[in-house]
Amino acid sequence: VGRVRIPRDVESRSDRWRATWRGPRSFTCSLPSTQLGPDALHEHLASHADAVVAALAGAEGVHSFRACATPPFSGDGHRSRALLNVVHDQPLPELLEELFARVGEPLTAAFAPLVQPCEPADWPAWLVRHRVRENTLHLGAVNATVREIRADKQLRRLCRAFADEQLERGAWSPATPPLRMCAELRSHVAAALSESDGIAVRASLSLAARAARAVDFAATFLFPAFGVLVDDIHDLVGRAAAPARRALRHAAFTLWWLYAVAPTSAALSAVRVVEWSEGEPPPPPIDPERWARLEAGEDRFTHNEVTLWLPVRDSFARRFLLRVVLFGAEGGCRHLWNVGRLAGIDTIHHARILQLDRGRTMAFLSDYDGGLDRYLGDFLGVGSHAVVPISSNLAHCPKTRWLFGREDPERFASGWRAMIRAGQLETSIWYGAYRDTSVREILANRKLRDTLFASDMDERAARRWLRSL
Amino acid sequence: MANSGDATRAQALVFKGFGALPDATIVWLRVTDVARAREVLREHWLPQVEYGAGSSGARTAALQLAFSGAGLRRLGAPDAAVDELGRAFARGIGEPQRRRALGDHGANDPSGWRWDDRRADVVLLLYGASAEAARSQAARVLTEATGGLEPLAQLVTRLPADGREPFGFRDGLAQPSVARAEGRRSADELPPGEVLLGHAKATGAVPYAPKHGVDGTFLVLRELEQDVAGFWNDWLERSRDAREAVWLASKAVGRWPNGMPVHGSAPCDEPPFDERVALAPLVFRDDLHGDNVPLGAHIRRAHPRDGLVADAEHSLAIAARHRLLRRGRVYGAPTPAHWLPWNAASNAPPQPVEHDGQSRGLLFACLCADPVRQFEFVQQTWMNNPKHGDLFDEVDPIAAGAERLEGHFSIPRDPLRRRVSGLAQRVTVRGGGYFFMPALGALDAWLA
Repeated sequence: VGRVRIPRDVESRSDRWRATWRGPRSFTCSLPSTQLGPDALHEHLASHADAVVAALAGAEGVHSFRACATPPFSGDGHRSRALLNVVHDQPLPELLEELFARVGEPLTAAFAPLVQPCEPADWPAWLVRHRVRENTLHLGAVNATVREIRADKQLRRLCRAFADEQLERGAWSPATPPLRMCAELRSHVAAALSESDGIAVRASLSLAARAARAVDFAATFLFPAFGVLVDDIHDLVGRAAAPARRALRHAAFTLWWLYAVAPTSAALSAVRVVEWSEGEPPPPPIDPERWARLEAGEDRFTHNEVTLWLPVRDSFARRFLLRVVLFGAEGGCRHLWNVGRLAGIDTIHHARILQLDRGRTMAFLSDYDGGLDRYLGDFLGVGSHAVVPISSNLAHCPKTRWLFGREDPERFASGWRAMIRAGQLETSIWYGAYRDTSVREILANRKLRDTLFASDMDERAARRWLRSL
Repeated sequence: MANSGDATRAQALVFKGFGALPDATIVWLRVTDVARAREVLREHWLPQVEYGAGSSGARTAALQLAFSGAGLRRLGAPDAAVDELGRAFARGIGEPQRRRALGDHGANDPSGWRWDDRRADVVLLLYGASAEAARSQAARVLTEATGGLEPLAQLVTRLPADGREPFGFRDGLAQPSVARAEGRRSADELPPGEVLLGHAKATGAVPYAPKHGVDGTFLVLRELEQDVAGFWNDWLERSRDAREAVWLASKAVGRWPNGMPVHGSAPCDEPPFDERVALAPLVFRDDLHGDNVPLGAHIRRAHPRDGLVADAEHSLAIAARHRLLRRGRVYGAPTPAHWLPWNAASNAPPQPVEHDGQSRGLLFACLCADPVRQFEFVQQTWMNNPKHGDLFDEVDPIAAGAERLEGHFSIPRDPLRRRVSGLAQRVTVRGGGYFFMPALGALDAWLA
């Protein structure tokens, strides 16, 4: 498409500030189409999927890319919209430049039926103009770049193959000193990999970045209704290893709880009044043929994707409540659920939640490990205290009590699953940079690298490291 | 939460495996004439079905009956009523999503199966005190079926006297039973709702069940052909002697052939059988690295007990949601004794086994209330998942399907694990399906 013009100031100051201590980033836009309805747009986008995915394979900083056809926003005069999302490492201007340098041709062909800018050079500006902001963004492996994820995986592979070889030819035995094994592995890895592939301990966050994170942490906890996540906050307090630090955290937690308990109680009481005034929502309509098509495309890899487009309950109170809950969830993702688990669920790479169409619709885009059925089961089980308060604001969600509880537990699960199925979109284009890698694996590989190259590795640490190989 | 069902209406297979009737013929049938098929079911077969937990006494035969989703529809059940029993059941095991979850592609692809739940409408499980009794019972019921149903496939199965499956390992040691009373249960008792529809499940909730489903259960059947010669050749090729081959295979299974638990990470001899030890519940909370039972071992993947996550109680709670009540039996030619390495001199060099061209294996059968949450979850998330636990590139060394990657299996050891590679698929699916075993009188309206 030739050289594109990158508009100035595409990233806000807060985006740039947050990126100093938290990555990868997510860029989402909702692009209108006046030509095609949602089904036809999906068909059209899907017909370009192979070309787009093939072109993206060489993109260094793209974790995932997806495009789906969605219904139009209410009263916007369009026939449908394309929801586009990219999870990326580099700053947005660089991403847009790389995207159009690598994928420009198939991408512009795929977007042909959308309302287009006049010149191809203005495509990036057009995307930015239709940008929609994530209300909540969860990252499974925080600050892990595509390059690092791939390099760490390669490092594990190299270490395992070398260890197998040494054992096979008798150079190593269970009696070989662990420190010697680790030293030989280090030398082997250093010879096989380049420095940029990661043969050193990962650099920790700079002092400025840590300070920025602390400021954000403090600002987040000023939000008074954050008390609904008291269990998770208490869990965070207990994570401190040093007793003095833990005691300090407990003291701060107690003070904060005194500050938050009254507003949290008031907020929950208000929620209860809203819940009490509503009736049981009707079950959502489900097209069996569409359901079969959705199932046929699911669970293909270790790392899979799902996109949901769900109407919010039709009241101002619910639209506002959802916004507040998502704001709280975003705080939780930034500071509580940042060690590979979202409220206990350890299979989510990236989850993005957006409240669109003036609050009338919630979009949920997730990249997760394993089967969808298990994933949804986790939402109703271990992660329900984070998921149920969000979904209780949706049009077809069975009734809840106090935001978290289920009015009719026996029917809640089936009603909730039916709502998810009814709102599931067929993803037209999906690219994942590491579809054979799980979140747990990414975190374990990262730890493997950091420990192998740690300067203070002793006999005990070496033994523990070898066991994790 | 009170139960809405009455367990005494459930078919007897829920409560017992018919151990006193060791021979069984399984017959998959297709409806050829609906009116006549209804008559056969109503007049002949349903009256013979044994229900409830009572003793069979001196009975020399028993009959159990189940229907596929396609079969229920063909016999007159409305689509909506079949759909209410669950999507997986209603659409059958051959759907692309089911195949992906179960690893049914490559050699396991349903296109090569002898039977499945789309073609078979009804499955009869005919138990007898002897092979002859089971065979004559099959002949009798097939005569009764004339004009209404025709057999699609038939399998003669048995419960071996020594309790060993064709690879030579004792099977069914960790078999739970269905709790008959509310309240506290032992670890070996399943809440009724994990098996029967309309009862309280492990979480305490009683999920909705349609009237025709209450007190019924789902029967998952899989005909698993076992390449016994290939299996032992795999382990013999990777061992210095027969003793080490048995140890390696035991690590892969998670128990010694005689059923004793495996301990330690150095090859050793099989310990003598001690019933008290073999039948004691396995505990993994003290073996989180898998030094005794490897993380990837078959029995640990199939039922991780308290070793799934560091918090043992949380692990037990997860595992409790995915338990199965197994009722499988072996079929085919008995395994020749000389194929089993423990019958060779322990220090003899490994001798490859010659395949005899005969078919043998296991008819896997399990009962559950939700085939997706229970059976499929175990297959997909634990057995076929290369990322299960802290593993990265290996699947169940015994039962995983075509996605075997490089056939790795890791045996944890201090400080560095031993890894076996290149293990081929030695268990192949030859048939499979989801069937529904209705309770007493549940289908009367459709069969009238």
